[in-house]
Amino acid sequence: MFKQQISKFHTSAVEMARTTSRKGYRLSPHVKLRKPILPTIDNITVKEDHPLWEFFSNGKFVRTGQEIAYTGRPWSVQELRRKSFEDLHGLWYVCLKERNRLYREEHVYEQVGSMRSNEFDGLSEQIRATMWRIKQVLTERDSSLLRAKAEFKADGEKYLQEFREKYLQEEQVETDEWFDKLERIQYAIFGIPDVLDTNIKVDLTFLKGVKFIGELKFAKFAEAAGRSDLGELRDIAEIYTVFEESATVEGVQNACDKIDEYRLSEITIPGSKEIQVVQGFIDDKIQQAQSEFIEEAENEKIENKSI
Amino acid sequence: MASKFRNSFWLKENQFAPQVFLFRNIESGQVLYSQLPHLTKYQIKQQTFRPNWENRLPSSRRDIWRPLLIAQFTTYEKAIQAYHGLVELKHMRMNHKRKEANLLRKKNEYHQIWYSGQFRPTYIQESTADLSLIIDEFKLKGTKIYWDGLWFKGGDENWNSDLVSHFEIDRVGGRERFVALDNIVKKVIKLKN
Repeated sequence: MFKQQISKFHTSAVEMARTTSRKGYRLSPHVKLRKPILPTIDNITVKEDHPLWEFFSNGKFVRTGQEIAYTGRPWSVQELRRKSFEDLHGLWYVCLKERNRLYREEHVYEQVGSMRSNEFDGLSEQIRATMWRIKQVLTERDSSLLRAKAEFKADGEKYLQEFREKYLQEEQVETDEWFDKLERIQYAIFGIPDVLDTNIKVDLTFLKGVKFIGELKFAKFAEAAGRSDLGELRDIAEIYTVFEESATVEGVQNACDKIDEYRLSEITIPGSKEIQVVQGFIDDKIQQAQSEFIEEAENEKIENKSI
Repeated sequence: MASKFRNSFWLKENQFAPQVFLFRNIESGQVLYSQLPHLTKYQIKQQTFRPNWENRLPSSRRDIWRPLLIAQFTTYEKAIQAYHGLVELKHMRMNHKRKEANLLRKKNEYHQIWYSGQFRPTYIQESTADLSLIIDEFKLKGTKIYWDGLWFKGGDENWNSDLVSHFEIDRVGGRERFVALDNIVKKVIKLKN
């Protein structure tokens, strides 16, 4: 009654292959199937410096319990307080990487139900103690900085005045101790680093620092340099000239020579332009240093070639 | 473009290279063959025979299809022949040779095809085995295979080194995959011209 329906799963590609009359064009229906080809890691080469190696200790899949047997202890807060920020920063990352390695290995042991994962966990906890102590030390430093800043707001002027008096009264200030003190006060209170770089933005605090240090040096050494005849420093350009010279008699002498030349031009910089002018001085100086550096590098290249 | 079967003349006229593209489904591990560097519903319809719970009708979502490899042949005729062969082998594995194919597969404790979640690695492994069979059977000399990760290639003993050479596709992100495939096609066309 009904015509028997035959399921046809053939598609055009299969059918076209079958209808092609060329000999050897299509597969024999008796072809023997091949076993599935298993992927293998032998084909893969991993670079020596692949970042994921950081998760392995010396390229090992997992360490044994003996290899991580520890006899040490976490760093104490007292020890960490003696370290610089760079040291703490470095130590933090050493700890973090080691904990990541331990986590990975712990997980591997956990997957196979081994009790050894506890050993890895124990060491990891010890490292964690070091890490929270690093945070503790940094928090202490941060809060003491905040406190010092708040205190400086209230008694800052008095402190600077005291420093000025001490500096002026001291007979011998051309010593490393005083150079360091000047450098520290300059950086801690006015945020002026010892080495200038391109990120420096001159603001009111910066300007205040330049004035304080410049005038202090001039007051201390003007007489010794035999330049009391200059009187007081007139504007920011003169103050900056003294500021950028070293805190010695020769330094101030050099600055005074420059001021003599400057006074010939009879220009005076108004207060409203001070920030702009100092920024300009700093930018010029950086540019000059950069071009000198490039010149030197080129000269070296030429020398190397000629050799 | 890839929405129906394309003969060698058409491929040549439309600036495609004599290649066959294998795409893998990253969700289920299924593999589809295409003559062009893209997939459409046509390939799914054409190459899915008797779908069941272990080998479902795959979705055409393009983000779950990644290239597995590109097989490049010396002539367009060979590319067509290999494409036909691959589809026919797939048909065989699902139909009159399904018992034979099933014997070769890795099974789980319930004698089902081994799987993890939705993923069955056997389909990728079967496709690579089929490709090596096709190359040997038709003696497709000068075949170049560009792998998306040499991991899938398996041991060298599975490949006839006189007929086929292997390369790796540059590693780029998933989003740029199809662009990378197009570049391979363009490169071959440029060399030929």
